[in-house]
Amino acid sequence: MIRERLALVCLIIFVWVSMILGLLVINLYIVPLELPGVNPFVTGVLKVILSLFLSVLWLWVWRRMVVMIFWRSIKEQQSYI
Amino acid sequence: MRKAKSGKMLQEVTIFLINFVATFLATPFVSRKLRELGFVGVDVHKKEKPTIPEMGGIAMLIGLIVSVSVAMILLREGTLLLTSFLFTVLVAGIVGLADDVFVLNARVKPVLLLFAGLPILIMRTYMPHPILPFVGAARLTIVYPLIIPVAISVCANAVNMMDPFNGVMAGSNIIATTALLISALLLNRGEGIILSLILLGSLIPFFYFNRYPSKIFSGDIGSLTVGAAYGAIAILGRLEVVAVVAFIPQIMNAFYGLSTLGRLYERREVSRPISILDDGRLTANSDPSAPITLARLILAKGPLSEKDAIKVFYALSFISSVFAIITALFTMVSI
Repeated sequence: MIRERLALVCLIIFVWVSMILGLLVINLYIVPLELPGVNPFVTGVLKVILSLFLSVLWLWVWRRMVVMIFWRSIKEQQSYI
Repeated sequence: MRKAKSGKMLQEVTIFLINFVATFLATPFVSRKLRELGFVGVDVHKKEKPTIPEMGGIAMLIGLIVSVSVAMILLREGTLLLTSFLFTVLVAGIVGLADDVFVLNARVKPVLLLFAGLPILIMRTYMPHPILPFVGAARLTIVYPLIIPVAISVCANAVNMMDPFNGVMAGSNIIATTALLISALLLNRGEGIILSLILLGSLIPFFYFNRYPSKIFSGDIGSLTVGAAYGAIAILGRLEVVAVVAFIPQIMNAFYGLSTLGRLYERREVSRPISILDDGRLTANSDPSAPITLARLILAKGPLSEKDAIKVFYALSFISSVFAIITALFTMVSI
């Protein structure tokens, strides 16, 4: 049963791995970011925008994958019937 | 030292058992009363459409109140933390009760649930330094308090949205909370251990009555209470990232539904994501206007009996929980 639904397990793995990698990227590269000559407040806002962009990108990819998996499965099921 | 440790363990087990017995005894009594008062719902995924008492979550709430009170007396420490947990759960329970009796608007409910996070904020029982895998403690002094009410509301709603089949809400939350308990034991988080045991003490006996074929439904009072309690454990037990990973199936379900419809919705407002075949098996509805819930995604591959669909839910929760425990181990490592 679960073997037939491996795509869902792969989706969980994708969400888990990308979440941990995303947290790492934000903490290792975005949080320590310092722009010489730029106001620290502006740098802070830039960091938030960059992190938000990464999060939205993650959600967008995730959503695309779900929609693709769902409609492909429905089509397969209908062609089988 | 060892004697003190075993004494504390005995207290924790006692609190768990008291909750277990209180919920186990309360559930059949609450079930009878609810049927007498006419608070029943139809089990829509059964061909014969039986009526089942709803709002059984009252029994879980009773168990939680009893066990937190006993914990305050027995432990004599962390009273403020336990009080904030109790009030968070109570506020969510009251919102759930109001939703069961009056049917709240889909947009009003999450807003009301923001108040459930206030006890933790007001009593300042949180630590604004979530521990991230490979990174260690992050300093979120300003942002963290703002996130607390949102986190509690999101958790409560996510659990509320993932209650499609008999026993799925209770069963998948037992698995996720067990992952929190194991992680708290690995990371030596005393608050996480006691709060996870308290929630499990309510969930396990309720699951006995709620599992397939259900003798009682939790209602919104049950699912919102459990969701708020889970969120509170994540915050008070400092298990934020671990809790998110164990909660992936619930997050997936809520996110898919919301992203396909583009708004918050009540189940009765939208086209049903699942339909029943003549042989009693469940199948995914191919109507493009129906939300892509996790149940619909599971059934998209082919029809399943309700019992088999429930097993897939448990399997996904189990897989996420294993990853959550691995994540807990990752938080011990710093790059």
